[in-house]
Parts: sequence; C-alpha cells; structure tokens
Amino acid sequence: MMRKYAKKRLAVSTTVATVGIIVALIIGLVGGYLAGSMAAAPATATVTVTQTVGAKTVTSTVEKTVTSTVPGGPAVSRIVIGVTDKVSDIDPANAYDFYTWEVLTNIMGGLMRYAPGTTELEPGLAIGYTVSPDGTEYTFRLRPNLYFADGTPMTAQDVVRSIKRVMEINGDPVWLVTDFVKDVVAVDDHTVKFILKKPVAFFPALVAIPPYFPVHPAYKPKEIDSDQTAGGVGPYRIVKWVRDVELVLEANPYWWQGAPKTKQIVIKFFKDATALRMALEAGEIDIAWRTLRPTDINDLKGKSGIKVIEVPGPYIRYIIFNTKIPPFDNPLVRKALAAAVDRKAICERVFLGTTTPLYSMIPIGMWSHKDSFLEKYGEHNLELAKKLLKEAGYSETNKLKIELWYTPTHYGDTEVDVATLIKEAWEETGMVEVTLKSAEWTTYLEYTRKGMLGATLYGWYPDYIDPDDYTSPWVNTTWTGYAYSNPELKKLLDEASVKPILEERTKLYERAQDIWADDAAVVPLFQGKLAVAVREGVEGVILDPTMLFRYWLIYKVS
Amino acid sequence: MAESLLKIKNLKTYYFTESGVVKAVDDVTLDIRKGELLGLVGESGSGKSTLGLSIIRLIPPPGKIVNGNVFLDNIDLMKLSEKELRKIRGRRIGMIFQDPLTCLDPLRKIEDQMVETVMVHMDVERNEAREMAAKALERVGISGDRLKDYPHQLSGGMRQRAMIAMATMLHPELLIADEPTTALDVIVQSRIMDLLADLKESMKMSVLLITHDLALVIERADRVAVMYAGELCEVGTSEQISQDPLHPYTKLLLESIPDVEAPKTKLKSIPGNPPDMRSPPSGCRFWPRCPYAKDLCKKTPPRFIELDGRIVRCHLYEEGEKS
Amino acid sequence: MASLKTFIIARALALIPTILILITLVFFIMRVLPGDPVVAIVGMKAPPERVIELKKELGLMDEAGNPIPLPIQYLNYLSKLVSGDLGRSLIWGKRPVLVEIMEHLPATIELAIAGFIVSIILGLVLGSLGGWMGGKMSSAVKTYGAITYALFIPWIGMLFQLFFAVWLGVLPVAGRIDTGLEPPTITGLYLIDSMIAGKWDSFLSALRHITLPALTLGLVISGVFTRVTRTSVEEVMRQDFVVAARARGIPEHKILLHVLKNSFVPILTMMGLQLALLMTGAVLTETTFSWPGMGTFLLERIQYRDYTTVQGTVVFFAIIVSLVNLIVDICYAYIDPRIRY
Repeated sequence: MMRKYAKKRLAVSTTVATVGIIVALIIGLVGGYLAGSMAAAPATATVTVTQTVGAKTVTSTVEKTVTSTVPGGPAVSRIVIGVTDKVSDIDPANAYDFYTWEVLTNIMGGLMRYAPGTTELEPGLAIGYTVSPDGTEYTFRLRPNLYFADGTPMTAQDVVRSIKRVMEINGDPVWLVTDFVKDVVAVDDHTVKFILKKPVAFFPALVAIPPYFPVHPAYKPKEIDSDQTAGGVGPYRIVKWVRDVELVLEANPYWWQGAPKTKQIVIKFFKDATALRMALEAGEIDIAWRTLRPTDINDLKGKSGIKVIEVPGPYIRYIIFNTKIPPFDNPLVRKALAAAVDRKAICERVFLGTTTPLYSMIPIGMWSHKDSFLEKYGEHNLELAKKLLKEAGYSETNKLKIELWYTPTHYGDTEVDVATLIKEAWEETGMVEVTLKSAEWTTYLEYTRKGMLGATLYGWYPDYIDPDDYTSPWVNTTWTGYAYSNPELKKLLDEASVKPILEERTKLYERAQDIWADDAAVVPLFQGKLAVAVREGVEGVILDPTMLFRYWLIYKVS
Repeated sequence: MAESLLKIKNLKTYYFTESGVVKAVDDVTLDIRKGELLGLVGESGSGKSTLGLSIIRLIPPPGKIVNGNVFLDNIDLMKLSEKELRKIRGRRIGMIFQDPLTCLDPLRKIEDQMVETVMVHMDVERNEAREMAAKALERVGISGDRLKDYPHQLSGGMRQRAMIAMATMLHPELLIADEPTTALDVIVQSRIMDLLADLKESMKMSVLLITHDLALVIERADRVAVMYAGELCEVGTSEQISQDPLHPYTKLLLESIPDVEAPKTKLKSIPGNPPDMRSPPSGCRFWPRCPYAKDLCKKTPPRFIELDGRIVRCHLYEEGEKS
Repeated sequence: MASLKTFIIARALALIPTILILITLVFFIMRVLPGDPVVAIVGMKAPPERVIELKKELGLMDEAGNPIPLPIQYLNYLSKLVSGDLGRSLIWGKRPVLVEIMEHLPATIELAIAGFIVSIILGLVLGSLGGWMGGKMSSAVKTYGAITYALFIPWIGMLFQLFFAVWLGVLPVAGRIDTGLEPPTITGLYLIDSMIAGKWDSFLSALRHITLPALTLGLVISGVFTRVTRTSVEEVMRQDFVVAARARGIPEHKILLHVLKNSFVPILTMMGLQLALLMTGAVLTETTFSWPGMGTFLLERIQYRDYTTVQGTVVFFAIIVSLVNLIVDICYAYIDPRIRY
C-alpha cells in the first residue's frame, strides 16, 4: 500500500514538473523573442577628470572661490539611478525628507553649498557673505548672471520671494526658517540680507538646505506645489516626472558652472530592495542608491562588473532613557546600561559591517566629535555595569526589570535584531531582565511624545550639517516627552549655537559631549554608512555625510 | 420465430471499485428480436441498467466490460473502435434515460442538441437537420416551434418526448429505454408508453425496455427477461411470465404487484435484501431469499434450461429436464 | 431585457449602502487605531504649535484648538463625499485623493487583468484537463493547485526576476515600461494605449515589463481556478446529459465544449470571488516588481494613517468590486438561460 502510494506521488510530481518545464519553456521562448527587440546599451566615451576638493574655515567675512568643479568634456548620454525612496513634494516649502532634498539639491541650489566629499561649506549661488558684528545680520552677495533652467534671470528678489513663500506656506520644514529668520530683504539685485531673531553661528549651513533654495517664479506663491517641475538654479532640470515611477533630469545649459557632462539622469523608483539589487545586476540601472540591504551590499562587493562605494553617513542611532520614569530616573542605572551595550556586536552581526560604533551624538567626521562615551564607560564593559548596578541596589537575585521599546519597520526590518542584541548585552550582567516591546511608528512617536515609554530606540537624520542639529533636539524638547532635561547643558548648547568663532564653538561642544556622556540619558549606538553600488564604468560618485548624491558629478565611461 | 436483431453473448461487466469487484452483469446471454418490445426487469442494483449501457459500451469507470460479445447484424460491437461505435450510437441504436431533465444539456436549446445529433451522423445542411428535428418532434406530439425552447421550459412529459424524438430521429433499429417513465406521473407514464409502442410499430424498431416495474412490462412487452444480482433468471413471453412463472424470484415478483381490482389484499414483499454484489452468495445467487432453497442451491450455480421455448435458470427444473 | 435593466439599477442602488457601511467602518477603524497622522507627517522634529496648526488644517481641530468630535468629522466627511469630493491626502503634498487614485489605478487594473488572464488560461486548461482525463491527471492537477496556492508571491517573483532578468537577461526586473516609451494616455493601460496609438515599440516594451508580474500573479491565483474547474468539470462529467450525448454518438471534443459551458457557472462565481485575492496578490506583486499601482500605495497610506486617502481608495475599490460582481451576474444570465433577472 505504501509503495503504491509512493509511486502515485512520484507520478504526480513528474507530471507537475513536466507542466512546469513546459510553462517555463514557453516563457523562455517568448522572452527570447522579446529580448531580440531590446536596444543596445548607449555608447559612452572615455574621459579623464580632475577634481579638487578643498575648504577653508568660515570666518566673519568670506570670499571664496568654488573649488569643486564639474567634469568637462563631451556630454555622455544618460545614467540610470535606482532608489527605493519616494519623492514627496518637489517643493522646498514642504519637502522634509532626505530623498526629496537630494532631488531638490540637484535641480536647485542654495546660496552656500557643501564642497563635495566634505562637510565644509563653499559658495553656491552667492560668492560670499558678511556677518554683522552682533551676528544677527547675514548679507549674501549673489553671483552675476544667474539663470533659472528656462533662461529666466534670477535676482535677489527671487531669493526673498522664495524664502517668504516658505514662511507663508508654513509647511513641514518651515521651522528651519522661522526659528531663525525674522526677515529677509533684497538690498539690490545681487545682494540679499537676512535679519535673524538671534545670532546663529551656523546660519551659512542653513542657507545650504532646501527650504532656503530660491525657486522659479512658476511655483504657486501661496500653496504647496507638489509636482512643479520648474526647479531653481541648479545643474539639472526636470523633463519628465511620473510619481513613484520615474524622474528624468536633463542637464541645465544655463547653470552657472556650465551644463554637467551627463546629459540625462533617470531616477527609477523601486518598491523593493531586492528588485533594486537585481536591476543593477541585470544592467537595467547603472547605480543602486538608497537603500540596499546590508546582505545585498556584501554580496555585491564580490560581483565582477560592480563597484560598491561606502562612506560614513550622517545617520545615527541611539537609545533614549526617559529620566522621568523609574528606574531610569536613577543615573546609576542609565550609566550601567550605557556601559553594558555592545555596539560592535550590533554593527557586525546585524549590519554586517555597514555601520560603525558611535560614542557621541556628534557623528564621526564632524568637527568637535569626541568619543566621550568610550572614554567614560569603555565598550561592552560588564564589570563597570555590574558595579554600578550593585551601587544602585540591584543584584543577581534582585534584578533590574525594564522594558525596551522599538518600532518594527520604520528603521528597517533589522530593528528587532538591534533590540535583541541590546537586551542580550544588558542581561549578560546577570542583574538585568529586559522585556522587548514594539509599537508601530506613528504610535511609537505618539507614546514617546506623551512621555510614556522608558527606554526607546531612535534614529536621526540631520536637517543641517552642524553639531547643533545633533545635540539641541534632545535637550528639553517636547517630542521626547522631556525625557532629558539639563538646564546647564541647555545653556551651553544655546551658547555654542550663537558663537561665531569655530574654535570657541568646538570647545563648547566638546564640553557638552562630556556632560552628555555623564548624564547617559541619550546613549549613542552607531553611525550609518552610506553605500552605493555602481556598475563598472560609472565614475564621479562622491558621497559625504551630507548624504546628498550629486548627480552633476557622475559620468560614465565605457 | 422472428429473426434476432441483437445477440448478447456471455456478457460480463464488472465494476472494479476500491472495496472490491462488483459483478454487475455476470455472464448474460440474451437475444433481442426484430420489432419486439423486450422488457428487462429487476430490482435496483440487479445490473439491468449496466446491461443496457454495456450494449453500446458506455460503462463509466471504474466499470469495464470484461468478456462477451454483442452482435448487431453480425457486427460485434465489443470489437469496434470507439469511432466506429459512435456511428452506431444514436444512429442504429438509440437510448433514452430515466430523468429527461438531467439528460438534456440545460444550457442549450432542444434544437441545437437535436441538430448536433443529426449533423454528427449525416452529411446534411443545418436547415435540413432542423427540418428533420422538427419532424421528429412532431412525430412524438410536440409542436415544431418548441425547438427554440430550453429544456427547463418544457414539462416533464414533454422533455421525455423530446428525448425520445432525439433518440429515434435517425430511425434506429433498437431503442434502449432505461426506466423511461419512472420519473413521470402515472398518466404521463402511460402516454409515453403508448408513444413508444406507436413508434415501435411505425418505425419497425425493437425496444429494450429496462424497468423495475414488472406489471408495466407484462402489460406492454412482447417478451420479458428477469434479472437478479447480475444474472438472468428467466426469459419468456409476457403471457408465460404472467400466467406461469417458473423461477421462484419471478413468482415472488409477481405476487408483489399490487392488484388494482382487489385493493384490500395484503401485499406480499420479497423477504430479505438483494445480495452484496462484491461477494454474492455461492451457488444460486437467490438462495438466501428463496423459499424453495435446497443444499444444492447453496453450492452449485444452476444452469440455463430451455423449457417449452422459454429459458429458466433454477435447480428446481434441472431434474425435469433430465427426465 | 427590461428586467435586466431593472436589475442593474437595483444593483447600483444596493451599492450605496454597501459603500456607506464600508466607509463608516474604515472611517472609525482608522481613527480607533493608535497612531496619529499628524505625528507621522511632522515627524519628531516639529514644534508643538505646528502639530496644532496641522490638526486645524486637517479638520481634526476647530479654530479655537478644541478637537472636533469624531461624529462631526464623520458627517463633514460624508457631506463632502456626497458632492463627489474625496478630499485631499493628509501627507506628502496634500494632493487630491482622486488624482492620487487615478495615477495609481490604471497600473493595478492592467496588472490585475493580465494576471487574471494568465490564471484563467492556466486554470481552465489544467483544470479541464484534470477533470476530463481524471485519474492521475486529476491528482496531478490537484497537486498543482495546492502548490501554486501556497506559493509566496515575493518568493516566486524573485525567482522569476533572477532567472529571466539577471541570468538570462531577457525580461526586465521592474517597472512598467522603458523610459521614454510611454504611450499617450487614453485608458491608462499601456498595452491598450500603445495599440490604439499604433506604437509597436511601446507595446513590446509594456508587454515585456508586464510578463513576469502577470505570470507571478497569474500562477498563484491559477491554483484556485484549476481546483474549481477540475471539480466542476468532474461534476458535470458525471451528469446524465454527458452519457446521453455519448449515447447519441456525439464526439468527445464536442461533449467537452458542452461540459465546459456547463462547468462555467461555478468558475465564474469563483472569478468574482477571486477579485479580493487578486487585489491582495497585486499588492505583493506590485512591491516585488516595483509596479506603480494601488497596492503599495494603499498599504503605505494605511501605515501613515492617511485617513482621507484610505477612505477614498476604499470607496473606489468598493465600486470596482461591485462592478465586477455585477458583470459576473450578467454573465450568468448570458451563459445559463435558466437564470433571469
């Protein structure tokens, strides 16, 4: 009976297999036929490019030359970039997400900009600026002969109109303007003056971000213009925009640095990271950009014909302990937990080396960065943790019982692994018992805001590239439910944000980082790396902690 | 004696089910004569319908004709290819079934089903086929314009008439009627039987009437064959069977017919149940229910015995034969 | 046919309560769920004043800053809906919901139809083969149904991508059409639009792009159809009219046609019912192949608690599902003369 049954099963599976093969054959034949109609890859020319990157310290008066250049030579066809991101609004008045900011950076430009490959500022649409002695007035001098992508001249009035438009529309990133800017006026056609509410040392960094970008007059003056393609004064202009499908950019002949070499940039929007990786392998795209999975990045590293470029990113991850909720109100507990965390294990085991351990909120590569947490607690320091826990009155028999919260998808599906490794490291002390809890992103944020969660995992993408953006948002702020309050630190940070001299600011931030580590209320975990995978022949990929990919620098050689 | 039209010889049709082999028709030999109405009677499960379907080889799986011949004018139907056989089905041998509603394709008009049949067998134009269909319908007493109707638009009696029209449209030599009236009420029943009798006469065809209703058979048939548990027990003329049944089973069947004239008399039913066909009793298959059963009956199957021009299969008569 | 007209009108009217119930359910479920769209929109960085401003803007708070009670919000929404206003999306540009739907819907419809055709062909052919031949073929088809039904779309989709795009390089990994080949928009379905416009290269490109997603979706759904077709054909095969037709000498291939026609009512019913599966399948397929349709769109908007968009989409889907069911019902009448309305 058994044998008969087995035989029957075998017969069945053979039939199924046969059917499967036939189906596959038919598909293969049809596919082969269709493939015949595929166009050959566009030819590219070999070009050599020199590029110098430089920076100077910003002082009270700046007259700098642009050091980053656009690769010269004949324009080469097109480059296709794949992303899993979305574009929200092609409007600086409401766009407030990284990818859209990247697009805006490529179709517009600010008065200042970051020299590619660095976190240093260089002149953009302005040739320089002067700061009033009290630090509340910044006057920018524009380049002569600036044009929008359709040839319309751009003047100081356009800068004023655009900034006022952002304030009027009152969109998501508006606070990046209204928190600092009281008024903006056009002194003449080529001079624009910002009057600030208070001295802001990093104001030149602010004018380098999209809310400060001048936009074409075609943008609706009083409402968000989500699908406006007129752009600003940038290296590329939009020639085709199909939401969620593709964005086609064409070199802007009127750009002040001259049209970029790659004539056409096509952005294809993917919904799945695996498909993104396969599209790169299949040659459908030249560049796989945000965001490949760690496993895919590692796999691609070994593939011939594909290059993986990695740089430290400005993206950081950290734990927030709510100092108002017991037992996290006890500094000994927070310090013990900060000491026990095993950052290396997280970076290696969860992210396969695509992230780096971080011992300060100010990321590696940014001025004033200091490994304060490492100095104070060491790494995965169980002895210290045990000692501190004992001091706090806990033991192997009287364990510290805590909940650790995480959100399962917002930071990628690796988040549960991150939380698990933290739990493991803490429990390794033998004196802690951790319960993992999770909540969906919107809920998670809401509970945090209400100050209901004791220990939470969060991440941070910068708004502007300055230590201020990596420190101020956690001290005495509503969104954390006032989890971390330290008046002394707050005063220090406020002072650092207005001091115009970099050396002074650096000192203040170094002190702030030490206080931060001592409080151990917000504990840095790791810093992301940016990874981009490109096909052989794609050159000019320059990534830096601004996270913005500059399309005008890339080109293809055959 | 009339010439025979169809000769069934040693026909065996078995169902190979998972729980065992059902010998639904076991070694049946029977002649159907030209122009006669032969009644085939038996309880349900006796194999009479299987016999009918076996003639034109329409036994559904897991059934199989394992042995025997069926000669129609010296052609052995059992040896024909499926294609050759299709030319005989519907053309030389027609068949009608118990439930005319389920036997008609509910989604197609009567016309389409009839025309299809004609055109399968004859090389004619659609129009001509339609005329033949209309004529056939009129012959069974349905107006030709009902051709446009769907089966569900006809009454039960009309449906059976339509079935008959469809089966007899091409003037077959034999019509196998498997319980043609069972699903109909009494008045319609007798009208259908009248119709069959008329057609038999006018078209000079033979009819094999398969039914469980012995009374009907005696009233209508020329000859009667009685079947029990896959075997024939007795074959004779209607008169012989009704007046002088030989086989104990036939006798019991006769006694169980309700007498319309004497409604008060108590009905006699046959004791016991039909046998489990997967393991029929040894010897004579009827012995467990037979009032005359002897030891011999339990061991040895009886042979066919010809007696006064009729056939019976019972140990009771074997001695008589010898003497 | 007057009765059919009445039937259609009645069905259209019956749609109204259906949609109303759906809308009510979705409206309240979305709001009962924890998580606040405003928080999702502004993220963690915005100051609290901004949250209040947004709530006012979204009609969640009145001018004085008091929250508007749910029933009032509900009535406000309904009154707008009656005038055909689906409202504006709460996030990302606050674009009109109708515009967003219209941007995503044709892609989904095209994929759904293509996947449906694939599944119907596979289902009908294999199912009737199994039902007709019985025995081993029947069990083989049974196994096929079980296997395909259990297939996980992203997994099978990825296999297809790997095999046909990465290894063989004959079909694209993702997308709907090659850059620059989009046909002029008439129906929004690229295959049809490119044929109307006579753009052969567009048609080929669209066909090459839709092949793998349609195959993936079709394969997974075909399991249900093979099962229904097989059982239905088997059942019809057992009916007397098949024996009766054989007894009239009708050849097998003609009988098979009649059997198929008779098996079709349950298959048709299943087609109507499969619409839901088709839609959920489309979501996964769309994600796997980066197909710019409604599936991923809706999923994303639910996550962000984009109330108006989700509600608008549900209204739309309800209309589509009802339309399809109506068409299925009309098909019944066409196929089976016994059904009259």
